[in-house]
Amino acid sequence: MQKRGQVTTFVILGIIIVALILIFLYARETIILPPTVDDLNLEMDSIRKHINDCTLNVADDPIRTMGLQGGYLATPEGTYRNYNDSKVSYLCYSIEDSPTCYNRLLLLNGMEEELKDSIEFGLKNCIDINNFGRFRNFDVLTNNDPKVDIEILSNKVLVNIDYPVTLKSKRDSLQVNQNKFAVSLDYPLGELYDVAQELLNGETQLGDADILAYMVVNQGKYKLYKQKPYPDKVYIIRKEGNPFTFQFAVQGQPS
Amino acid sequence: MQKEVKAYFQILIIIFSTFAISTLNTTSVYAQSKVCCEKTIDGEYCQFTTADKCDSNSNAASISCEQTSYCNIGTCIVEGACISNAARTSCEAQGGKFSNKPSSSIPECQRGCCLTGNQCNYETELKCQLRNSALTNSEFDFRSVGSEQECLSLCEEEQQGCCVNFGSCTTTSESECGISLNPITEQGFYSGKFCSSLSQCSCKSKNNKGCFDGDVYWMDSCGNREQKIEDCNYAAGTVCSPTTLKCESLDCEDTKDYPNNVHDSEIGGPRENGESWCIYESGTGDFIDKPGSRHYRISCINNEEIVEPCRDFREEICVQGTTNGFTEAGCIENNFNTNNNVELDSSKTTVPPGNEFWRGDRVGIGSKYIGNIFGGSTCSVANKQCPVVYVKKNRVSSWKCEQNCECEEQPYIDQMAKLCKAQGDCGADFNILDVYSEAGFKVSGDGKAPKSVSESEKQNWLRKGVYGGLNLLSEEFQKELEEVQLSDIGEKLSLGGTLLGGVGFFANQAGFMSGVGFYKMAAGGFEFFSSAGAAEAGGAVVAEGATTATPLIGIGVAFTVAVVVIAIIGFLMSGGKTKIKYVNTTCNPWVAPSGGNNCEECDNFESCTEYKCKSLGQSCTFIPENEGTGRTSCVNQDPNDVNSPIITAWKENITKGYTINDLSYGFELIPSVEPYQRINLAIQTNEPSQCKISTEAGVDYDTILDFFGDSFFDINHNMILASLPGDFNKFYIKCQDAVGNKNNRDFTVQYSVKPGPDLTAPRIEGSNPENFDSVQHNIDNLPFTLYLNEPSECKYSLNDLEYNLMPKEFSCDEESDNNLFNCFALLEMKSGDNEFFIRCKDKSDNVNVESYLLNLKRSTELNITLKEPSGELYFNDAVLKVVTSGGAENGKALCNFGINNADILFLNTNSNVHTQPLTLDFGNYDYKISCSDKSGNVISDDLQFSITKDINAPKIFRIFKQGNDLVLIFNEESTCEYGFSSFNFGSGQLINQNSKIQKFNFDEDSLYYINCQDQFGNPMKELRIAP
Repeated sequence: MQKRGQVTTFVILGIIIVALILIFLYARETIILPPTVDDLNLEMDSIRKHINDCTLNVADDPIRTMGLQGGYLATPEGTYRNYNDSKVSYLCYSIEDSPTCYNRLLLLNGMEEELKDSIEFGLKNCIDINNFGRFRNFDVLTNNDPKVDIEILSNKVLVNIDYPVTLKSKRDSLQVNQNKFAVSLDYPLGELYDVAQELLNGETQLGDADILAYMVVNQGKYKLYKQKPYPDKVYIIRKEGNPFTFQFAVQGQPS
Repeated sequence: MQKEVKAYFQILIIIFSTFAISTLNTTSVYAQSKVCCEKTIDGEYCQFTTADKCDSNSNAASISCEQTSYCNIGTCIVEGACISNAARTSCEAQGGKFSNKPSSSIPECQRGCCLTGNQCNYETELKCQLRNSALTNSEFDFRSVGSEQECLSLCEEEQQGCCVNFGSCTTTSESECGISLNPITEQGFYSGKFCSSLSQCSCKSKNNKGCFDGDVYWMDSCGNREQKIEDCNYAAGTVCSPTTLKCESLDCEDTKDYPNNVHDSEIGGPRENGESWCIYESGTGDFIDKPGSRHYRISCINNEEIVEPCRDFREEICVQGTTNGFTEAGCIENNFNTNNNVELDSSKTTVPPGNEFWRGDRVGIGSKYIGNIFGGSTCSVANKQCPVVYVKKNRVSSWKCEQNCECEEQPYIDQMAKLCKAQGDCGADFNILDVYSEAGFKVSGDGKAPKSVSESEKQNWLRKGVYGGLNLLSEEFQKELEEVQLSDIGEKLSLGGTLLGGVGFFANQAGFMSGVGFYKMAAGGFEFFSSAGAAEAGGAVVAEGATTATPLIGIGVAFTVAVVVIAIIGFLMSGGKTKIKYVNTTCNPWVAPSGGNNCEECDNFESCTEYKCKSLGQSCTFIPENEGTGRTSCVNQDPNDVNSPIITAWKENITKGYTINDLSYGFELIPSVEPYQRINLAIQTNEPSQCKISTEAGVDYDTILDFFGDSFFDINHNMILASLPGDFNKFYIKCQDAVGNKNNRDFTVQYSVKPGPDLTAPRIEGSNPENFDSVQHNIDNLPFTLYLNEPSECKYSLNDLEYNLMPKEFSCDEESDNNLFNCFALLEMKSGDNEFFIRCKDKSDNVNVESYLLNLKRSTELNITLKEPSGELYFNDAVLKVVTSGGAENGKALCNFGINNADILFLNTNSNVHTQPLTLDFGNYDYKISCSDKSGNVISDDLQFSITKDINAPKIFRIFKQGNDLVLIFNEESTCEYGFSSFNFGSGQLINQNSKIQKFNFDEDSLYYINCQDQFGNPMKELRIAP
């Protein structure tokens, strides 16, 4: 009976020793030994992917909404009309007793600023890189919240993120830095903005824009739709084969 | 004395009250008056809005914005663009330069051709400057050209060829290639050559077909474009189809039928690409357009029909014309003639614009209000009174109509009804569903005139097609009209002028597209009756009363009898009388048919607007929130309805397996809901309503924040709710109808959730990575997370096994994260496709009987197959180019570059070719490059090169004679001159400039001296060629 008890004790002791060896081996790799440059670069890749994923998640909605709301995210009262489930911004305001209208001056700069604020706010709540260094042989250091710069190009929206990240070894002075991250979203926001400006030129100078003529001249590259919810007009623009939509309203006057 | 004091006191009160009331009125008017705000409190510029919205630090004036100095309109030059009709403050606040001149007279706003690399853009010089500074910060090439086509042709002129660069062969232009031909290394640009014709490329010719620029081309096995197979012509309606790889027609093979549109026999048939045509919702022209009707233009573009409504209320009309079988249409302004007294004008339309007939005679702003400030309505112009003259010539004759007798005939009533409806939506008419309503037209008077419009006339109003009105009014009609002699009876009916006011049809609309013809309208319209009265009746008009009998003269009995007889005859023949009966026709706004059974029909038309909705029935109510959403936007709503919506359970749509137990006002779901089950609650309202849901009882509708499902007005409402174990959920629902009647009483919905154990197997809600994702090539053990709806244990295997037999386990969390429970595993990955079968078991031992099949693909390694430049470059402009292959998407990746870290995204990336133009100083460069694909594969590399100055003289590779020419081939582009005695470079005769091949006519008997230098001025030692 005593022997059986001793055997049990040794078995338990053996298990504990094996467990300790395994823990030591794991800790040696991840905590005790200093990391190599390759280790840190690999971690930096994971952080880059995390930031990339976050940006794609956070930026998608405001870019789509901006397209549906005529280039604005904020739509103060009196600057839009409800149509097609969206607050479609007026990009041209009516002029009394004139068929033409005056341009509200939607600029790419303004759109970039609005997107910047929205995406920056979203990224603050999404990016969480502190977990990457937990129980590891390196620290993850950041100074501040991510700063975002948006560039609306013809067929994409570039999100440049200024977010200095340093992975610093806990055992030696080795460190890897990355200050900037860039994510590209394939939305033809810039291109459709240009089309909208061409249509607005027609509205400001002639009081109308012929969508059929525009589609034919551009060889069907764009699909344009014009609705006339009284007394306004709503232009809906898409690129052939691409569901991304830019729509805007032109204010009209009841006659 | 006391009375006097009282009187003064009362006077004082009246005066004071007058001032007080006037002050109150002023305040109210001020609050609602609109002003032009230079800036609003929302930060908007130049808004015409109420004064309380203006920023207190900015200007405001109660005139329209374009009349103010701060918001006047001109051209704004901003972001390289010239924007017409921009407001001054708005422009300047956004950093723009404002000019009062139109853009056409501002030199910087003129368009030209901007050349960037081999790209040509037709734009302003400012935009060109901006584009180039953003790309390369280099000098820009801006050329003045006459048209966009001229600009685009500048880029087409460049010869295409094959660019060979370290094993990569691509068809491009010489400038895009950027490498000069090196005959030794065989790298560089081969002008006019296909890559498949070059032995160093290993590209198989005519490997497959492909589309480029709308045409069909052969492609080689390297993906380069070769010969054009088919020249598709967009203008002729064909383009290369990526699916069939042939020129396919863009025409619309079959178009939508519109059975009521008989004006164009081609409707419903095939149409060519770019063709457009008109569609009408009723017969049009000749005043037969029905209340609520609208015109549309339909276009065929790229096999699709696009419907474009003309402006509502028929403020725009659709016109079309056909040239050589090609129809074009357009919505143009309706210039309907509203002046009732003008001469016949064929340039005016006979399509009366609609109005807000449902408002009756209420006065408002704009012509949509049918009332006017003088108390009448636009319809009342057509109110007419016709005096019909009856004469009774003596005591024995009967009353006979002598003048304007036609006014008591049916044709007159029909014409008056038509005159009335010609004013717009007035009088009697059919709506667009052909339901007749005559409440707006009334015939009254003491005559025998018919009281309503004849059936034949009504049939006339139901005509389909397009009509031109009375533009070809016959001269006879004109004469008849002039012969009307009603002035004799004191009142002139201005029928002629009135009718003429609206006749004719459009002719030549200025500004309408060329090639559009106009209809030759069928002469129709009013068949006006001759109202000329009998001229001789005039004399009888005014006479009234008896004539005096002749007196008996002379004496004698013999004559007595004769006299008596004569007297009797005289008496009987006298006593002639005249009387006037009036026929009054009253023209009021058209009244929609009673009821609202047809309201929902509104959505069957191409568009449903308030105007159309109101024409379908007096009880039809338009819901603006639903406009353009595809939801019912016109509903039957009794205007006297003060009842809020009645809510009931929508049993058919409540999650299957549950029944309801009625509460006093609400229902309870029975039995208790399974834990974690997502329950679909469904309710119905007796009228289209908007509903909200709250967890608190007795909250006002407007205070509740959450909509029940969505915010649209509908009779069916759905909402999916979660159910956590042991919960007792009680919700309070309130709705409001389209006219704003809101529930005061809560509709209660309640259900309890079983505390568990549940009997439902766990459900996999998602995973990370997601099913069918591809992962990194070098991942042997993939960290994988499974998301479940309840706490569970999960296992997986490579074959489909029962849960207990599955060999590998997930590690699962007990706590939820966003209502989901996570399970983790390291999945062993092999190359290619990996399939895993997963089953889970919840805490109540409910096990999945079917496996969840997870399919993940391990991608191949991402490689960099080309990187350039390398070695020494002699120009400051360099293009970094990286080509990637493999990975998750055949080389598609995002690439970064940088000096210390690869942290700058290439300008052109997200494909397998990544380029970045740079302008660099002299020096050595070592760029880090890093590319990553969708799966997270990363490949890094270095790119080293130097920008230096060429200090070496050009070298001759070969020299030989070709016919009478001497040919010298150099290692770099050079400029050479020759002479017959020793000379300094610059004073000899030029052979070729900047070319590797120098060739000139050579006389074998002469002594030649040749001097050359490269592009950087490095001179070669003088060459002497003796005879």
